[in-house]
Amino acid sequence: MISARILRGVAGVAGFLIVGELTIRFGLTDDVVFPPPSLVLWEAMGLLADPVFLSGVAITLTNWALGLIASVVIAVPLGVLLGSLASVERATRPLLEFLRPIPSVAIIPLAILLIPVDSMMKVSVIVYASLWPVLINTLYGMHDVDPLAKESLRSFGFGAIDVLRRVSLPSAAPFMLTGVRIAAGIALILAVSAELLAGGTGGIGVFVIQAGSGNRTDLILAATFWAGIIGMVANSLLVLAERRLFHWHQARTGATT
Amino acid sequence: MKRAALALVLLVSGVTACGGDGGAAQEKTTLTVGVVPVPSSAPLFIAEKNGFFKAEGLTVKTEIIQAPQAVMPKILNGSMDAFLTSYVSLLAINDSGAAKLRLFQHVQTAAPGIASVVVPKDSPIRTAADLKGKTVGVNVLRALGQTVTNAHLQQAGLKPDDVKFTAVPFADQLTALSTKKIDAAWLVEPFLTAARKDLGAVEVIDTTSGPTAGLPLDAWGVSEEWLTKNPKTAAAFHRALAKAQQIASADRNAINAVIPTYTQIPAAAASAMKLGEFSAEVDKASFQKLADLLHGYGYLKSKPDVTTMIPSKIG
Repeated sequence: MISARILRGVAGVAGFLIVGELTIRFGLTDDVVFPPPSLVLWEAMGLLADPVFLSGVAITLTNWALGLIASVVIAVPLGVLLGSLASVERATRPLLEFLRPIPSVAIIPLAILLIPVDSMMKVSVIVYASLWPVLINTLYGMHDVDPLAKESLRSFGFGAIDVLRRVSLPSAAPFMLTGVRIAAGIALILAVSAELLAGGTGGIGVFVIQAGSGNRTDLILAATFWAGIIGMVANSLLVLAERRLFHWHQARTGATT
Repeated sequence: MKRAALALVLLVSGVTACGGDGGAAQEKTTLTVGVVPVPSSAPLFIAEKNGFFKAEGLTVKTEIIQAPQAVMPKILNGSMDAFLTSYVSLLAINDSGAAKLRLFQHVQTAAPGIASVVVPKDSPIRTAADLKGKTVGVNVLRALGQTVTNAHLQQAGLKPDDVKFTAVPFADQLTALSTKKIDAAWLVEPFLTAARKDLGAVEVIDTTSGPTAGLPLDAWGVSEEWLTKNPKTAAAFHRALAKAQQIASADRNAINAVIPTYTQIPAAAASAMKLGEFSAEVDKASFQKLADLLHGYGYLKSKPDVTTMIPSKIG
């Protein structure tokens, strides 16, 4: 079953690449300058041996990981707190609803101005952007806790902390992880965008600036290819973690694996 | 978060304190310089390669930037000490009032054939006058490309309004040109050579000749505040840069050798591309001419006096 699915996926990607290759090589006139997929993939492989690119990836991923961890550390307790105290949530909800839809990329110039240390600035915008999915998902998770289970524990004389520990947190955990998974993608977007805007000593975005100034569209696309791969790998790992850790949740909600 | 911010403040102040102790009487010994990955940044890397900064007791860290406009906050809050800027950006930023920038060290003056308006090989456009009613792609609107093209259009008897300018990043210009999204493109090196080689593009106007010959292109800039705060550091940094500038002006190979180290321009393309003149100082009259052109087309609000942007003495 799984192998058939993978096969179909591979066929889809290969078909797409071949169509792209043929279109660029033969469909368009000779005058169009756009690197075909084969060249981009070749350059992408070459980047694996490019120390400048690799150190850039390391810088981007470090910011990404720091930002993501910090946002989880902030958003999960905050979400649990707001989710358990209805009055606090009602008081803060308008502010959250106002801040949430602001495109995070738009705050990068402000962050550049306010935060003088370059990597701190980049991590901060990543934190800001990835805070929301984790927070909102945690909130929904807390709301979704089975009231009957909470009531049962209470009637057996368990305190609020025990109810939280034994029912609410385990029940909301899958939602939190889903939030983290969404945030991981957003964090990568912000990590690269901040580099594109602010520049820096290195990073995937900084590499793209250099490639752009040198008329190397092939390298821009090759770097973008790796950014996409990184995002995909991060997402798959988190999906895997969701399935492993919360198999019972998927069984309960009827989600298929 | 608060604790993290506090730790950061302590860390930063600690770093600054250490920096002050290092150099004899220099206000600052570690400098962060914004570098645009174009040939004009070469002298900084020549200075680094030859140990000129080290000899002055300076450590220079580079950050790749797109243009000074994108990192204005860093320049204003002092986390970026100096930066490569085009003269147009320098004038535009000062005109906007966002900052008071000063010319620190001149880098490159235009020479004929390094920036041109080109058309696809099958285009009927052959002269500046043919551009009437056509669309010309420039990297940034109301900047150098549009200014120098306007000057040539006027010479050909057209008005600036006769041509429609549209902003297309250099990297996308070749595609825009080949897909006929634009009728003509204003290109600089290395894109100009690529357009000729890959597309067989034909030059319609050499925008760095005739009425626009000898305009200054790029320089190292600093903020006025930085200059008054760090006179000794500025003097040391300037000595090192000026020395490298001399090498760059005398030896093209020195420029070619460093370009691949901070750009993605391959070595072969670096030595093949045309460059302007790397002279020691800017020609004040040409600088003023550029300012007057920009103001004349309405791209600057007030008519600038460029001598106010050139410090009488550094250090």
